[in-house]
Amino acid sequence: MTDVDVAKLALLSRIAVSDEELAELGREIPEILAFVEQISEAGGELTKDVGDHYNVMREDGEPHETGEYTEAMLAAMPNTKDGYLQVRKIISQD
Amino acid sequence: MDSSKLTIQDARVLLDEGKITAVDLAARYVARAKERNEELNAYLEIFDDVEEQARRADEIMAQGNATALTGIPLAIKDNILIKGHKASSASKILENYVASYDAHVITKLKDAGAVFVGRTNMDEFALGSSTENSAFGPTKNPHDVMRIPGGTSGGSAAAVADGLAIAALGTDTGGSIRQPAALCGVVGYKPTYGAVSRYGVMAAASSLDQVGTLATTVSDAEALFETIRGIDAQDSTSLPESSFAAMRAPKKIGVPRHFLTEGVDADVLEAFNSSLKKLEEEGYQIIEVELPNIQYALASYYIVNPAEVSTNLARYDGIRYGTSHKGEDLLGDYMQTRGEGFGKESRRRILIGTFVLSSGYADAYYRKATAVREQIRDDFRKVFESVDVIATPTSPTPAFKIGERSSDPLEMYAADIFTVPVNLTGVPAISIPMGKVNRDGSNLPIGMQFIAAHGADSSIFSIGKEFERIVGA
Repeated sequence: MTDVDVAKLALLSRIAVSDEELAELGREIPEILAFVEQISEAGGELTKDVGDHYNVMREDGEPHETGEYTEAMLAAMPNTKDGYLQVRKIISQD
Repeated sequence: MDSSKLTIQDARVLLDEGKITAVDLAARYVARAKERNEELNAYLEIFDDVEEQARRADEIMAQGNATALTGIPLAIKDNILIKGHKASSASKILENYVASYDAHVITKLKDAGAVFVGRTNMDEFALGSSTENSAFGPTKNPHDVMRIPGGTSGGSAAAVADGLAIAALGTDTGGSIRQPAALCGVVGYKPTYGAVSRYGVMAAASSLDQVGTLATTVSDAEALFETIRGIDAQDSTSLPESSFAAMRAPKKIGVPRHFLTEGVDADVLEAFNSSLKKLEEEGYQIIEVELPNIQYALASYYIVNPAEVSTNLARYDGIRYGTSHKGEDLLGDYMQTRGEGFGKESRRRILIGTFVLSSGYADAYYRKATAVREQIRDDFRKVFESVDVIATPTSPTPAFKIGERSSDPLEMYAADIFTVPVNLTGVPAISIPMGKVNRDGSNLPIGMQFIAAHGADSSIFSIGKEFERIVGA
């Protein structure tokens, strides 16, 4: 069975997981992976392209007037100050 | 008037002939929804502006501008944005999030004068098969309240089945409209990928998600679809009208027998076979078909889905909107917000997705799953050269009991065996009631699934209506 470091996955995923749940996930995830690993028996070449999908571009320009949605977006934010989203300082002085 | 049995077409006649106003019709549905919701938990919220919406519908009718959906009470899944209303995807991380704009489908329905009764319960972020993964408690199946309604659009299916709305919107990522429709005894339709804009619909797995309809008849599911469909500049995956085939009444029905040998309950298979027999007696040709790679569909799906889910759900970090918890530092803010905000299945899928996309594993898992998906797509293309539709049961079993599978994720995933190939390939499919089977004294509905080629949505409606006439419910 595939060895999985669930604590590392939780950190990469930015999710705080209790020790109890880590133990549970440590059992479940390898079981789920063991199930999906059956695709290794299927044919199909690995290709770079992803099927019928392609990127869609639009012309540069102003899709709407500046400020049209500012208030609505600010209303949804947990912390704002003077019309801006307020976030934590992440660069320390020392 | 027994409003629990009204179709869109019935209601249209009553409204157009002035036998009832939209305000009165809406009031009946609100009253019933309030009465029944305590037991069923189909709605997370019954809106307080329903009368106001209905009054607008009456004005549209008074001006002579009524269309199919004007004044029709609908239920809307909680992952579709309605400006000014909460939209939570049944998650604590968006518990108090109020939508700041309308989804494209909502704009279309508002223009038509449809009336939204409320927002319906679901598996959190559309991850699950039973609606047990809601942060706000499970929805109960109206046919037996000890059982699940299916999922993830379980609230929408239960609401339609119990007459708490005439029809509903859901989303279908791996069967999330069709499976609950089957288990609640209503019609559930998943359009061709790209037929309906997903602007303003919360993404689960973007290459699989599609908005669709739940109703009591195929005609109603079609009428609602016709109102919401169409290309949208805000969704680059939405398709122009030219992508859709002209209606061709299906005559040849393909059945992948090799795929129905394991894990299907005997009485479900028996009902499926006897339904096919009735179709054959009406002149349909039943042809055995082979889909050589379909056995890998579930495994491929449960790699592609968590991979895309882990990516899409990265946006819920408590910084710009939604629930926000404080940690020791910025990383701690993220960890706490997401740890407390996401439910168990969401956490599990995000971790699996992170694993299958991680360096050193992406080739063996994600890229391989994508390659297998392409093969399944080719298999379907080939089969549709010789048949018009493919038939399978929608779900291998009727509704199971609440709690019966919640401790075993793999057993839960197995519920999607017949529905996920449709999302992997992007083709349209419908589930239509196919009778009932008995479990512990309860008569439980099951569904027939018809799958058509990419863009052949009109063929689905054609055979669907014929199936209703020939087999009945």
